[in-house]
This record gives sequence, structure tokens and C-alpha cells, in this order.
Amino acid sequence: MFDCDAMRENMPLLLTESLDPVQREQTHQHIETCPICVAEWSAYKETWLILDKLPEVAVPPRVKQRFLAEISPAMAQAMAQTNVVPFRRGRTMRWLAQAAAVVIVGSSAFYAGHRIAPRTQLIPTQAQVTAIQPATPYYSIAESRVLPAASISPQIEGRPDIQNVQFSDASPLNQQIGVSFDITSHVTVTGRPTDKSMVRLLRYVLENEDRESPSRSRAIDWVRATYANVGNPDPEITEALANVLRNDQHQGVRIKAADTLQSMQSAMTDGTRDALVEALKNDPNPAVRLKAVEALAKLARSGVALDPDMVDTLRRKASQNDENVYVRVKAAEALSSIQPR
Amino acid sequence: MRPILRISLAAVALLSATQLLGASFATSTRVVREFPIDPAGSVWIDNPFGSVDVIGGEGHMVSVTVDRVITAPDATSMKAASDNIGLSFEGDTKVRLMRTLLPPGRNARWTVAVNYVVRIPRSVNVKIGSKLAEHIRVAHVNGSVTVNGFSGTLIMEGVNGASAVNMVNGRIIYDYAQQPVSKAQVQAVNADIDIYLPPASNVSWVANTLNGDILTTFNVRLPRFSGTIFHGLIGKGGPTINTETMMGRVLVLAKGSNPNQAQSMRQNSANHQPVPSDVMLQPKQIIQLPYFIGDFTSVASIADVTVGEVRGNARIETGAGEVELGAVFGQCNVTSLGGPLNLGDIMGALFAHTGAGDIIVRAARMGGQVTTDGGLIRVIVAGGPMTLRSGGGDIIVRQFSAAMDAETTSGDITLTGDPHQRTLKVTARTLQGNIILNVSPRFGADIDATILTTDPEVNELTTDFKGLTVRREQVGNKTRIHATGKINGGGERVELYAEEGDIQISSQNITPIKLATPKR
Amino acid sequence: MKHLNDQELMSIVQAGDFAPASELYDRYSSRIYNFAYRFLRNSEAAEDATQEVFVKMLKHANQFHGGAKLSTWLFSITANHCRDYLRKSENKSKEGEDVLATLPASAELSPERHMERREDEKLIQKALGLLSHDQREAIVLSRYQGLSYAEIAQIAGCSEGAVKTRVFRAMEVLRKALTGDSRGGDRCLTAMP
Repeated sequence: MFDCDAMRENMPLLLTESLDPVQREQTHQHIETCPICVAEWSAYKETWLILDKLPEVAVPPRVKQRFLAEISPAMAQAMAQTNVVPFRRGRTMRWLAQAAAVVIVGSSAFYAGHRIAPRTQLIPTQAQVTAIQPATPYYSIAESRVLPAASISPQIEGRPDIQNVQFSDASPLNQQIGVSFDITSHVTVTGRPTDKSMVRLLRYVLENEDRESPSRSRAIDWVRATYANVGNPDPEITEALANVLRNDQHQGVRIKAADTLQSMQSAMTDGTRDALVEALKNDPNPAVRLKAVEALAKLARSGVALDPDMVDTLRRKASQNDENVYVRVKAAEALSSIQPR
Repeated sequence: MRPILRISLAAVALLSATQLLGASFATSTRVVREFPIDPAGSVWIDNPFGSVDVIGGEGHMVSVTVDRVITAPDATSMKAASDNIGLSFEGDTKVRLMRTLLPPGRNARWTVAVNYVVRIPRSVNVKIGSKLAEHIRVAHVNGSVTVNGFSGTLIMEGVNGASAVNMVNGRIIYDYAQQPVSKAQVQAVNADIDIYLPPASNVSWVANTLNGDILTTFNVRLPRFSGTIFHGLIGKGGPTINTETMMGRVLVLAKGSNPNQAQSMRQNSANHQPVPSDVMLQPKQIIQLPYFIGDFTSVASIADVTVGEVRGNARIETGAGEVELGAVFGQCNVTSLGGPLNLGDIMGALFAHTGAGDIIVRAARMGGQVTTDGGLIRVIVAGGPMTLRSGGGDIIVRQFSAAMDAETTSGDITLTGDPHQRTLKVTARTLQGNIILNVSPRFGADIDATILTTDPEVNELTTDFKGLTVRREQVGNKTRIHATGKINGGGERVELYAEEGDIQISSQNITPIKLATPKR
Repeated sequence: MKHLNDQELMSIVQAGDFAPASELYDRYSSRIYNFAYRFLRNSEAAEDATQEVFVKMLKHANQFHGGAKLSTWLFSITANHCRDYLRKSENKSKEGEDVLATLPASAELSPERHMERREDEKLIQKALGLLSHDQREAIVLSRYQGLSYAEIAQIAGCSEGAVKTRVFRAMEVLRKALTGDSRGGDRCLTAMP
């Protein structure tokens, strides 16, 4: 049995909106119906508001000066003690590796838009150029390595900065796919789509590649095409897509992530489903919400038990007057196929 | 006063002979209790699975009869279920709470239904929580009634106090014994709502539905819609009855009247000519036709429209739904507030818009305008000048033979020119994404291509054509890569603009797509 | 550096390159300083704490694991430092009576409003001073840094349940001090699930 003390312990959590929906509902309902707790709740809210009057204080600039002064000798010393070379973005390396990529996977079919034949790099005219982009030279294949997925550890350690990721489709001979990228040299990893190391690598690529550019859009297209024919895709792939759905700043990429998730129902995890619910709740783009609600509706139809937060979100969406009508209709449709458990 | 406690246990284990393959046990347990309650007190019942009957009467006692029925495939599951499903009676004379306690993380091997019959003094307030109920019935209660449920039939019979009902699926029936004196707030998602009122009632009626109809046998005064919400007065007007169900229908009947004579408050009459502004007031339509001769028009709040062939012009307006047209011989005008559009061979001018969703067009022979506030646009053949806009999503055109203007706020644009055209006007803009323009090796154009990027080492401009000059400059914290020049001696203007992406102008030997001549 | 995320910056530091120090400082110094200032109620001590925390971040970079949030880790270091400081300073004198002395005056406010604000701040600081160290740590991290109870538990080295109790007790004290309200404690019946 819940008593007032237990409910009051929840009040600060209510203020920070961090109670789970069931407890939130319980606490609100309790507050609404308990005259003592109503008064308590308003006093809590008032206290919480008063606390807001303590302003953020700017850090005096001298603190940073003192900090930087203190670490400069330490920095020199630390650098001398280590042989580790951090992964950095290097222009020369990138160009070199790009050329290598052309050579090394020249016989593979690239995904749409990636051509094999060398193309003219635009040479800037001298007078107009502020930063000159080098023309593509050709480097030896010795700069590149081809590794079978089985030979690499599924644990990708040190979070290397990978660049220039390209994909090759499954070979009709052995169903092997390929992922090429630059780290300190150019690497192509080949293996079956179901190999754990390949899955981990793809997950890493999806979650880490070129944060600033929408090249993940191509990666998702390729993942979708590749895994369309794989009976049971590894749940890690859907989790990676869920992270893209949660974090990518590009709406077009999020739409694709949600759409691709819809086609991978069997591999969904709780985290994946949560990402869809989050997207349905909060994504500003109507198409992302539409893809998310379609995916949830499909899940509900398949008889998967949806947790209370999902049901709650669908319920709210169905009745939300300013939501896109199609999203509302799909939310209602999803609810109609839910069997409470 | 100590509550009178009468417990009679009738535990019966039955082996169902009718279920030879899936033999199961069922036990039924009955608990009966009685408690005193204040006339203005409250009874709260929380029963996730099973029916609830609350019946108002005289006296000052709450009497409860609970039947717990457990079904399990074997004795072990049965014991586990019996041990873990509890009943709880708490509270005092102000509030009586009765609850079914279920273990968290339920074992799917057994099922339970707990049925409550609760008799209360009619002045008491009632609150019911439920997930799945065969029925919930509240009868002859003058106190306030709150029901929060998911699935089942809710019957409110002779409830005179204020009521608030929230259901998702099932059906909601209000049967007023006398004219309403308190307000009722009825909210549902998929459930139908039926309200039975004495003929002389005075009520202010508010109704809202996306999908269903709003029907009544009353002569409603001052009817009006604001958006999808209907307002009207029954009799002189009085307490508000608010009936809201997204996908179900609302029916308000005068007792003794014939439900078949109920009038729709939406624009449902045979003579009604739909106008675009009231699309959300039109009833739902599901249309599936192999062909339609003449001009085809459909205006509906929610419509799933599939027509194989329209031998005339097509005009479809819908609040939400999926639209699929195989071929349209004339002009095609499709506007949806949300939902995917799948359009085939459109021989006249095309105008297609959706508030959210993908748009796929097999052929827009005369060109036209295709826009989505979010979603992918794919056009296989654009025979005439086209304008394509997406609020987020890729744009892909497999072959365009006339001017092309494509823009997306986020997504890639891939355009392939008709190899038979020596030059074509192109405008393509993406605010987050790549642009790929594929044209034949002899394609001539005046190119103006710009990339604006925070990462000039990643985003690049590549082309198979000679004759372009490129300049890079810093604009704030971004780099602008700008290529201009004539290819193959020049031609129409090709203007490409990509932020945070690549631009690729590629020369390819393209196999043209040929459209079959339509049979008329 | 700005385009790299926290993990990436820390992996550079872990590799022995302190180049990201300035960027990391810029990202977190304000949160760290404000947390320390509210916890210690003394601006000078908060300055020292901030400097110390960032030096420790570099020195012990290898103890940071990619799985955790950098902010949580930094708050843990700050909290440890502050607890140490309070333990030591309690033996010497009462903590932070002069807390408002170094507050910068806001240019946009009228002198009257400025005084009013000072009064509010004084009142809140005084109320925070009524809390135990544990309670103060919990309420400051929850109210001002917006951390979840799970994160606070990690920082304070206690269970989530303990954080819940600490925040609750802190709110009880603050409510009495700030609103003059001393109700509470009555029991009543539950609500619907």
C-alpha cells in the first residue's frame, strides 16, 4: 500500500519529470485525491521555483588561466612519456586512402552512386582559390589491407576515428560483403553479414562515421539492402539504427533509420522499441513520427507485448489534436490490435 | 465497527475433457466482504483483468463479492498463479480501495479473470481502473464516476453524478434514466459511444471523431463544427456531454426513437458536395475500384483509395490514408494531410501533396508538382517540367525529360536526365545531404554548383566533365566550394546546392526508360 | 576540436595529448564551478575545486571509461574534492559565510532589483547551509545540474533509494526554510495504480 510519505518521496522526481509513467500516474492521482498531499505538492513546487532564483555564476577567467598554466609542463612531460599516436584526421592520409580504396575494391560493385572508374577531380584555378585541394594521385595497393571479418576482434577498442567508409554488396559466389574505411591505413573487411565481427563493425560505422556529414544515409541504404535477404538480422544492427534514430541531426537520415527498423521487426530489442517510442513522442519531423508509428503498429499487429510507456504514448498520440492525422490514425490502429497482458 | 467478514471458498479443480490436446485446470475462488462507508465517501476498484459491476442502492455499507478464476495448463502453474494473485482491501470509511494484486513479470502460462460485484450506497463516488474487462457496469449511482480502462464494454446506467470515462477499445454505453443533471466526459480511441437520453432532455453536446460518424435522432440546435469538433444543443442545452472517439462513432439517441433514423452531423447527405475546406468533416471512405470511367472525385477525412484506372481526371482529398492510383488519363490532383501516395501513370498534369509520407510516381507524363512535408519522393519518369519538394527525405528521379526543380530540407537528391535530351534545366537543393546528377556524356549545360560545409575534407564536388572551375572560400565557420563553367559547350542552367554533403555530376551511358502507349 | 565529442577528446587525452584540455574545460567548467560553489557555498573554494578537478581529469584520464558520461565522471571527482574540503574546513571554521561577496553584479538589473536578488540568493544559500553534506550534494545535482537519481547515486557512491531519501529530506528542510511551511507527516490512503 502506498502512503503519503512514499508519494511525497516521489514529488521531487515528479518535479524533474523522471518518474516512470506508472508511478507518475499513481503519484498524480494520489495528489489529486489527497487533500494533504495537494497542499504538500504546491509547497514543493513553490520551493522548487524559489530555488531557481539562485543564478548560474560565471566562472572567473582566472580559473582557466591558472589551469592551463598548471598543465603546460605536465603536458610536455606526458607527451614525452608516451609513444601512442592519437588518431587524427589527416588530409594526406585521406587522399591516399581514397585512391587506395579505388584500387582495392575496384572489382566489387559499389553501392549506388559510388563509381569505380577514376573521375576528374576539380582542379581549382590558382587566382580564385583560398585553400587548394590536391588532385588525386595514385598510390600503391601496399598502403591498404584486406582483412576477413573472422580475423578481427568483435570488440572495437580505442574508438578509432574512421573515415571514407564505402561498402561492397554481397558477392554472388560466397555471399561475402565488404566494408572499407580509413584509419591510419586503408582497410577493407570482408565477411558474411551474419559474422559477429562484421555486425560489430557495421554498428560502429553507423554510430560513429562522419558525424557532420549525411553519408550515414548511404550506409543505412546499404544496410537495408544487405540485410533484406538475411533471415534474422543481428539485434546489434537494429540497436545501431536506433541510436541513429535517436541522435542523428539530419532528418533525412532519421527517416531512413526508422523506415529500415520497420523492415527488421524480428531483430528488435527493448532499446530499439524505446527509440521508436521516443521518435514518435518527440521527433519534430512528421515523417519520422509516421515511420515510427508505422513500425509500432506493425509490432502491435504481430502480437509483441508493448510496455506501458508505448501504450501510453500511442494513446496520447491518437488523441493529440495537433498531431498529423495519419500518425493519429496509425496510433489508434496499433492500439486496436493490442491485447492487454 | 469491525467489518463483517464472510469468506466462502469454493476451490474447484476441473480437468476439461473438451480440450484433449491442451488440457487445462481452472479454479474459482470467491471472496465476500462488507465494509461501512460515509455517504460522501469513495470506492476505488482496481482490477486489471475481469469484469466489474457497481450497483448503487440504499444503506451505508459497501458489500463486495469477488470471483477469481484462474486457468492454467498444469498443477504447478496453477499453484504459482494461486499463490501470487491476491486481493487487497484497504482504506477507511472515507475511501475504500479494493485491488487485484498481480505479480510483476507475469508468467504467460496461466490466465486470470477476477470479477467484482460491488454494492454501494448510491451517493458514493466511484473510481474504476481496468485493462481488459468483459464488461464494466455502473448502475444507479448519484456520486461521481471515473473509469479508466483499455478494452471492454462499459455500461453507465442511471448514473446521475458527474462522470469521466477514458477507454481505448470496446464500446461505451450511457443509459440515462432521467435527464442529465451533471456533465459527462467520455474519451476513447477506437470505441463506439452510444448515449441514450430521455426525449425531453436538455444537454449541450460536444462530439469529436476522426474516423467515425456523429449521429443523433434529436433535433440538434445551433450545430457547428470547429475543426473536427462538433457542438450542438439538445433541447434548451444544459450540462455538457462531451463524446470523443478518434476511430469510433458517436450516437446520441432519444429513447424510443429508431436508431436507423439517426441523422449524421457530418456532411453525410447524398446531395452534399464536398468542398476542400471541410475535408475533415467528410465521412471515411474505403474505395477499391478496378477502373472508373469519367472524372473521379473523393473527399474524405480518412480514405484508403485504390483505383486501377481513372479514365478522366482524378481529384482526391483526404485527411489521412493511403492513396494508390494505377493510371489517370487526365489531370491528377491528390492532397492528403498525411499518408503515403502511390501514383502510377499520370497522363495529365499532376499535383500531389501529403502532410507526411512517401510519394511514389511511376510516370508524370506532363510533369507537375509533388510535395511532402516529410518523406521520400521517387519519380520514375518525369515527362514534363516538375517541381519536387520534401520537408525531409530523399528525392530520386530515374528519368526527367524537361526542367527539374527538386528541393529537400534533409536528404539526398539523385536525378538522372533523359539521354535523348542534349540539355535540361535543373535546380536541386538539399540543406543536409548529397546531390547526384547523372547525365549522358554529351549533355551540355551551364553549371553552377555549390557545397557549403563545416567539413571540407569530407564533402567534395566531383564531376566527369571538363570545363569547370572551382573556388573555395571561408564563410563564417563553413567552407563554400563553388564550381562554375560550361560543359559540352554549355546549355541550360544547372544549379546545384548542397549543405553538408557531396555533389557529383556524373556522365553515364543511360538506357532510356520507354513508357507504353496507354490504351484508351 | 569542437567537432569531436567528449569520448573522442578523452581518447586523445588518454593517448597522452593534452591538446583537448582547453575545449574540455570550456565544455564543463561552468557546470563544475556552479556545482562546487553551491555545494561549498564559497566562491574561492569553488575556484580551487574547479581547477583541481580539471587537473585530475588529465592526470587520471585512463580511469575514464568510454561507457560512462564524462560529465558524471567529472561530477564524481568534484564531489569527492568538495567532501574532502568540507571535512577539513569544518575542523577549522564554519563554512562559507561570505559566499555572496564575490558574486558579479548584473548590469541589466536596477539597484533595487539587484538588492532583492541578493536577498533571495542569501536566503537560498542559507537554506542550503541547513542541509547535511549528503543532502546538499544530492539536491544540487538534482535541482541545478538536472542529473538523474542513477547518476547521482553513481557520483555519491550510494544507492538510488538513498538518493531519493536524501533529496526528499532536503526538500523537506528547504520547504520549511523557504516557504515557512511546516505541514506534512500525515498519512492517508493510496491512489489508483
